Amino acid sequence: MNKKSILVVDDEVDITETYKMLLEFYEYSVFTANSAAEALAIASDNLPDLIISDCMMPKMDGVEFSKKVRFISGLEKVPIILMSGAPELHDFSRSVHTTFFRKPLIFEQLVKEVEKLLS
Amino acid sequence: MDDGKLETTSSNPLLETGVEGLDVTLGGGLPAYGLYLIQGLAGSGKTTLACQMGFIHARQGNKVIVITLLAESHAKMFSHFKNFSFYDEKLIGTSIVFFSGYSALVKDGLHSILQQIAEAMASEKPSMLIIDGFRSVRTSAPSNLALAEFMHSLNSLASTMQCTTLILSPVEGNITDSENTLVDGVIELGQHAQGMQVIREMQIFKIRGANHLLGKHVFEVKETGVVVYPRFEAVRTYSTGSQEASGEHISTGIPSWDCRIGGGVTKGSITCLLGSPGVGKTIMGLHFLKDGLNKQEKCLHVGFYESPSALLLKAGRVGIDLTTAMHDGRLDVMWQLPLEILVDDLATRVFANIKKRGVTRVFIDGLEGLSNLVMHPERSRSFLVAFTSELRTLGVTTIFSEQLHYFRKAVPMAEPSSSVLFENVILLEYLAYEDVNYRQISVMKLRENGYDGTNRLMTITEEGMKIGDPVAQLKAGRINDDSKNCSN
Repeated sequence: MNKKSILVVDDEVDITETYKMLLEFYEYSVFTANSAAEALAIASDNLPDLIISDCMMPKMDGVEFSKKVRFISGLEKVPIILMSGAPELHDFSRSVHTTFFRKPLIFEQLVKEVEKLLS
Repeated sequence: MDDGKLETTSSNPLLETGVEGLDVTLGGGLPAYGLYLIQGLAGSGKTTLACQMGFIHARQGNKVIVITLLAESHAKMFSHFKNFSFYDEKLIGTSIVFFSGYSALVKDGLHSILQQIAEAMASEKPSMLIIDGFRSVRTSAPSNLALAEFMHSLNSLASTMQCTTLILSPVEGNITDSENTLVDGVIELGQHAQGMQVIREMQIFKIRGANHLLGKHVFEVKETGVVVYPRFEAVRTYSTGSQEASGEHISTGIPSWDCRIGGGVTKGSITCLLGSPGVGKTIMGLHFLKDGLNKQEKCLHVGFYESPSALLLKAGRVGIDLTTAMHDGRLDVMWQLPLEILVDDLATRVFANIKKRGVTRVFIDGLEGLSNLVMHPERSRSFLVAFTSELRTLGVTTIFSEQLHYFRKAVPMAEPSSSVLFENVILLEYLAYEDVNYRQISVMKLRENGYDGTNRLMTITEEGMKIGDPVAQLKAGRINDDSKNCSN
């Protein structure tokens, strides 16, 4: 079976590792990145079916990262889930994400959203 | 673009453990979805406490997973739990699921066990996870960094999956290792030895997001499982209750004494009867209770030396009938030899009795009996301050008896804390005069009362206790029966 692939982006390693372990249980193939720059490289090479990204990251935040993803050929319409514990710190007015979740979030809600976006 | 905002609360709710006394100690419970370390040496009660919490949680309809990292079989664990009333075989395999992670850990290391935990969380969706045998994780970690990464991931898993997680580790002390610093709370179980006596103690080093009681608290492992007795003075410190002032006087049950101390003692006050053995402290206390019983008040006698039957006999000999009141429930006698019992347990039972029965008068026969139960001598004063403060808050009028030595050559040394502990201090003692032992009574302190400061003779007959002539008259050879005459 060809597994759907998900790229998880967060500057906190324990978060990406946790999501990777849990999403793999749901039979997804998971890539992880701990910076937006690393994530753009992985996205470009692997063209994931869905991206989950934290907003608050150094150098390039999740909103900016999402905009750059859309310029990657093949990822113009990839679903992007953004998450933040402090959304008031970000300007979402020109953001191109698909879904936003406030942290902390219930993982099952995230899985449901992932399933919905990938169906 | 779907800008769906799924709000979740940022402060986690408190998870009540249901373990008697523990939630008070924790400040209401464990903040949910955290990672907590329960530590203590072998035999300290870690597994019992954690699994008791697990069974209670499962019985409330929640899912619990227990992952053991020990070579010990689950069957052996169950046979141990069968001794406790919290154990419920019906919950095993459905609401509370046991996995062994030992094999995965030994064969494939930390990442493997983490993967197993993640899969168990994703598939079973537990709201509580217990990992027993954390020493195996520690010894499997190739480096401190690897252990720290494991702890970070476990904490992240607990938070992400909203699963309150308890890890059990056989260490002691608030050490700076990863498992202590990277968890949300540390609860230590230990033992304290004094002479040949040993008590179990619990100390909560930290609980993030909870207002827990600092310091040590004793606990027992009973048939019901772990029972924690939060240190009484610590609980009292955070209590908001205060005493309601009252100018009302209530009788001591001895009219010939009442008339000399302004009508009795102040309602809600605490009186100490300080005296030699056998001088009449207990009988004076029984008069006080009997007066309350006659007025249909609920009374409590707390004693350490005389059994209830011995007490009834003693009271009957001086004309005080307590039998009817004991049978109809107006009087309750809590008799407890001052041996290996826990003072916080006794305090809890005393105040539960007072609150449940609506007790208005208490006689505690033997302050030293109560003090002797305090295992840490430096605790004695603060315990008694808290104990008497709680009595005042509840508006209970109380008499303590406190024993002096058989013979004394000077006025008793004033206990520095007695001013805080007692509003009234009455001295009862023997007076040897011309080869006859008399009893005398005097007031050392009587707050908010006008009183006769004369040392007076005290007699105990089949009709009870009476207060009579001034001692000075005895010495002047002018003795009368003064007990019915308050003018002298």
